Amino acid sequence: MLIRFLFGCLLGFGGVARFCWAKDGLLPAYEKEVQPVLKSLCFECHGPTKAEGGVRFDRLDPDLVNGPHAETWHDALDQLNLGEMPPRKAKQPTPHQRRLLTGWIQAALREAAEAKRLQNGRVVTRRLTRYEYANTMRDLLSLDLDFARDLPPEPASPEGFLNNGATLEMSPTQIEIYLKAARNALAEAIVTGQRPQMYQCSQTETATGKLPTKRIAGHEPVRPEFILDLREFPRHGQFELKITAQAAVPSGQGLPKIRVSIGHVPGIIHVPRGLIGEADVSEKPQTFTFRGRMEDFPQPGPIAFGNSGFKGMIVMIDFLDADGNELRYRDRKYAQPQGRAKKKKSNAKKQPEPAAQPKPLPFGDRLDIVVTAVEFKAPVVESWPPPSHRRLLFDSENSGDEPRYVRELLQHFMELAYRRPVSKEEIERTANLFETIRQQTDSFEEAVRETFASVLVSPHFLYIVENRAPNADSQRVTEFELASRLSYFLWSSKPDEQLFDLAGKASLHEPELLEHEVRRMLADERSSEFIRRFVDQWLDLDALDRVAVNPEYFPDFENDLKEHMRQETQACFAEILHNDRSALELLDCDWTMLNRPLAKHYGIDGPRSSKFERVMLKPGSRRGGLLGQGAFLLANSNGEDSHPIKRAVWILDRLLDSPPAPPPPDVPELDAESPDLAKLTLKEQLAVHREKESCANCHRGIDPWGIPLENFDAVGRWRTKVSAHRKRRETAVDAVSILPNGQKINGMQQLRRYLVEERSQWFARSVVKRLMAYALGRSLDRGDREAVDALTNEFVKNDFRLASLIIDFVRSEAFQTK
Amino acid sequence: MNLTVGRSNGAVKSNVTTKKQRESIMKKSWQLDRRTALKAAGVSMALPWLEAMTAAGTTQPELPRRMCAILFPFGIAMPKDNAEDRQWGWFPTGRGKDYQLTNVLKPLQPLMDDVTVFQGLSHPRCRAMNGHDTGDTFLTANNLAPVTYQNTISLDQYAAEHIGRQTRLGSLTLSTDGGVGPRTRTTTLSYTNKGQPIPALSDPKQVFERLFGQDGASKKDRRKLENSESILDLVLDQSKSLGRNLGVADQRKLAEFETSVREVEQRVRRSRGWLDVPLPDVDRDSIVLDATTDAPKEYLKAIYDLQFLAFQTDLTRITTYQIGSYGPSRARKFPGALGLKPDWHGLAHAAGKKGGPENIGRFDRFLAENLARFLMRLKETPEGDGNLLDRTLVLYGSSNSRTHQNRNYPLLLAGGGKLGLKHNHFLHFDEKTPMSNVFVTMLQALGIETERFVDSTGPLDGLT
Repeated sequence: MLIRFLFGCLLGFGGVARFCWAKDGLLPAYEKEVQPVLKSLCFECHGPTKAEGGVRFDRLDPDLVNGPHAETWHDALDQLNLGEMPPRKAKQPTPHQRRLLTGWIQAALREAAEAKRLQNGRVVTRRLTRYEYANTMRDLLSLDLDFARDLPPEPASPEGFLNNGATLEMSPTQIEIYLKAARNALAEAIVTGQRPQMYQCSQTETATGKLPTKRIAGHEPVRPEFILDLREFPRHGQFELKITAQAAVPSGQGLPKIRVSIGHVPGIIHVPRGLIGEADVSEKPQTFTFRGRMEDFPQPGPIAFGNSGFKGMIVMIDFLDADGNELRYRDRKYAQPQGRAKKKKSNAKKQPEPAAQPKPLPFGDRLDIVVTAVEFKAPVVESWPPPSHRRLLFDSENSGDEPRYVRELLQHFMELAYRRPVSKEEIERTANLFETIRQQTDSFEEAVRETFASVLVSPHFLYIVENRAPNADSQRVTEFELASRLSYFLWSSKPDEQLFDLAGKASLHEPELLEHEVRRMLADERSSEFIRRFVDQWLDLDALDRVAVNPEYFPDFENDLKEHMRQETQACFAEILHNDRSALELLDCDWTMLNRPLAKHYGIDGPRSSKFERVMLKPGSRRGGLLGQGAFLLANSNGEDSHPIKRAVWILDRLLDSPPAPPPPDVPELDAESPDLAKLTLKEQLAVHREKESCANCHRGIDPWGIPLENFDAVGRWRTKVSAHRKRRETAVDAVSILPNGQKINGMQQLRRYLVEERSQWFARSVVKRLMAYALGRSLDRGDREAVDALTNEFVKNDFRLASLIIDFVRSEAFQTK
Repeated sequence: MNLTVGRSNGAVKSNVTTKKQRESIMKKSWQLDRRTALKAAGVSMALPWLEAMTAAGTTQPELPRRMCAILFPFGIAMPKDNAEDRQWGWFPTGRGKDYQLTNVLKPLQPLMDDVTVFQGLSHPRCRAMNGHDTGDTFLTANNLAPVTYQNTISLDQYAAEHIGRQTRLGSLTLSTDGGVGPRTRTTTLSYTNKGQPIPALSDPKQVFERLFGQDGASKKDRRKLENSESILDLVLDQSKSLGRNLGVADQRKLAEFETSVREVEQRVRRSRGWLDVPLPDVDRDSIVLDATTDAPKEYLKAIYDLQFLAFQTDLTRITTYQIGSYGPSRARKFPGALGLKPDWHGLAHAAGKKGGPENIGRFDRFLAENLARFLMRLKETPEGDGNLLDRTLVLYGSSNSRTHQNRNYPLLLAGGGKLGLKHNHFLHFDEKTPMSNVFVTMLQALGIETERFVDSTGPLDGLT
């Protein structure tokens, strides 16, 4: 009862909890409940008579928002949590009192932090994130370069989002990088001179030469099945690689695939190369086209050396089976001579003669791939001048008159870049820059490039600008601001022509049109950016890369699986969004999205290829829903064993919008007092943890949410036994847990059901809040409470349909005001 | 092959501002033979400007003074002196002149004439902070402001304000994860005088580009720099008028933009002063620039090699490097990638358990090996009447002792023998001595007249 009551407090604002400090008021609660406890426990030493340490609780201002004592309250909380206060000799609080105090102080501190944020004002003009910048540059210049490569990674906001205006920063280094990226990009987009010479190279059989076949000095061996030897190649520009291949899959196994990379051979110790891509190969001959840019891959120095036989760059094709293992047969002719055993002086005689090359089996008798043609072209230029050039330097009757022409070009380019109409004055000032530069520049194009570069480092381009509304009453965004809000929300890029036109006609905000636009945008391919970014950040899928799976415990685990896991979770979200299914299917459902490697990892039959497809699960399967997905399970393990606390915190924070308070500073380590801890099962360890008063407070509310998932090991496979780990012996999985409200949960299926049946409101609120924070690019504050409530109610009423939620939100005040 | 590089003597001496001065320097630098190839691996390289000096026959110039600060997170093992696995504790045994390195710092043994190890130091203002938050304050010595986590200027940037203007790059900020990372778990050690984190570079290729891919002396480069100045002027104007139309919080964020643009303007102006001094030509292949964090050994080597190169060529005199971070970091995987027990954070947590000291100690030793290699390269490179290490201060350590404990940092300071520092001891301090006293000593050794850094009480006893 009491725990539920406190749990409600952790849920933050809103009407879901039965009782909430914030709603009923922290101050009345202080007077009614908190102060009497303080009086009985603390006033004796920290009161009018003693005032130890200069602290008087009778004088502490319980109003943390306006009062001066928030920091003292924070200290008090830490002391309480650490069990330092009250001192051991003094009268101790009952568990009830302790929870009352810590619960109240936490809520009050949160309130104060929020108020502080609000007081500082909302950040609504925010910088583009790395990926938004890259997408915007791509769409603006019609050019596909790796624009963001050199930009520093973004920090995540407290809610986990990378696009939060308050956390996005700017630094001199970034400005330099933006300027450099702009110049590089414009040098590609606007061209001078003749069409560059194109290099072409094709082979129907592999080239041969010496490549390292063994691990040398830490470098992995390279054993491609097919090598394309590029003797001549450009060092810059787009390349196109066409590979014709066919597979033999005799017994209906998974489809094998080719892995294609490009690099060079400096000496024969290692082969620096970059991955171009992979493709599933089927029984039907097929031509695969890969594209990339030469400058993104390792290139040889000006002088070739070594005796590998390769002097320039090489394209390497590896054959893999469906599980990612190299597909190698002894009897096949390889791209490099078979590694012959080195003759050692001492036992030269004992060396057996190298076995004669066995006769190769005919193609078709076993799982195999044959590559019949490889064709390479670079630089590939669609037309000359390229489309980017023709779009930016369009034909005009003014083209003979430089000053007029450049103003015309600038108006067009600046409108696209600033995502709004530009004023005469703005154009004039930039045109002045052009004139300064033009005086000392040989070509018109070069001067235009430099001038356009200024547009691409302008705050109007690098920031999503929202001006302060002219009158304080109306904080509504303008039509063009609305267009940008929409496009950065659903595409992570600039508005397209249609959005821009609608904004220009001042009709974008009309509800029907808006709904139509949202549906159009979601159906557009670019919405994959929304799915990818939102799901990644909401569910913290990046954590996958921060966990190292220990090969000692999981020798068969391939790191590629992490990426498949990430894709499974994204694909499930996409499936629900695009097919208008209930978002509750993220919690529990009878299907999931799998490809072959992942299905195999889960022990499920189905897909043959590495493409993701929807797989219906057998009744009783534990895979449907986020809690059965590798992405969540692995990301919240420690790479050796499951980690019920991490998993629990993730559920509470990401799914139920009830993040537990962070641990207090200087938390004492558990093992110091319990040296035998290592022998206990995790569940037992957690129980010990909860016995310690300083830990119990929080962990009583955390641990029970993670224990039901104990049937999943560190890499997300199902288990019934917890294998021996270090000092611990093998034990049977115990996934029985009692939630803080007394609800008994046995295993993940019950937990999943429980979340759907009893916590769908919490979940709905969590989705709403995260979606809002993501779309608005800021942390939510007290001003958003009503919107959260209203949207949550609508979301629940509309059977948890994501598209409806997005439409409701986009049409709401919350989305359309600053 | 002529392994020298032309450098102007005047630029070393002072912060050149007037055009006339600049011209006179340039003229001098023209006298030098500057078409040079500097082999990165070249150990026996004569330092460029020294040759220039003899050629120009002027008075003895001030040799460059440099500093590098390195942080690793999570702390170390501290088994008791009588414990069986004491050898895997980070701190040496004994004290003063009479000390013995344990297995962990053993790789530094041949260098101990240039190294002092400290025990007991920490930042008093950071002791009560969360155990994971102190990476942010390792070089700032201040506690983070509540709610906003506002920081203050870091040691390296303070030094850069004084000596950074003498080189092409004021300073170089590096870390395994790059960027700035989230507050309280930042992935950079450097903070501006406004307390803003400076994004770190992490990819060796990117670092190399930054050092050696700058604009050269061609007519085109000169024009580009001039254009840059005009472009930045315009952008700054735009920002100012934009700011007038924004809300208060937005204005504050936009101020970051303006400060940054101004700083770049200054950098551009400085670059123009360097136009006639060619960049050292270094052998790109001598460093494994493709190294990634998947191979920690190669990666750390590359990062240290780049810092060495930056010092050797005098492109900058100040670097910071944060190995991993207290937050989610790619470096957490390092021990696993080396075949040790995985997850650095887990190792640190288990450092008090049975067998724990050896598990983390082996990894800490690996880190020390890499440091030793870097120090050795500096030491083996002659400069003036000594070597590079004699005029380079290298601060190395963690802001946790036991994990989560913000006291008694494991710390050592190397180099600076010719800057007045005395080494080869294991100095003990009580908690009253703030670590910022080391900073004061370092700043003074760098030739910066400073009596105070944040909460210091003076220079550190026993170092000079």
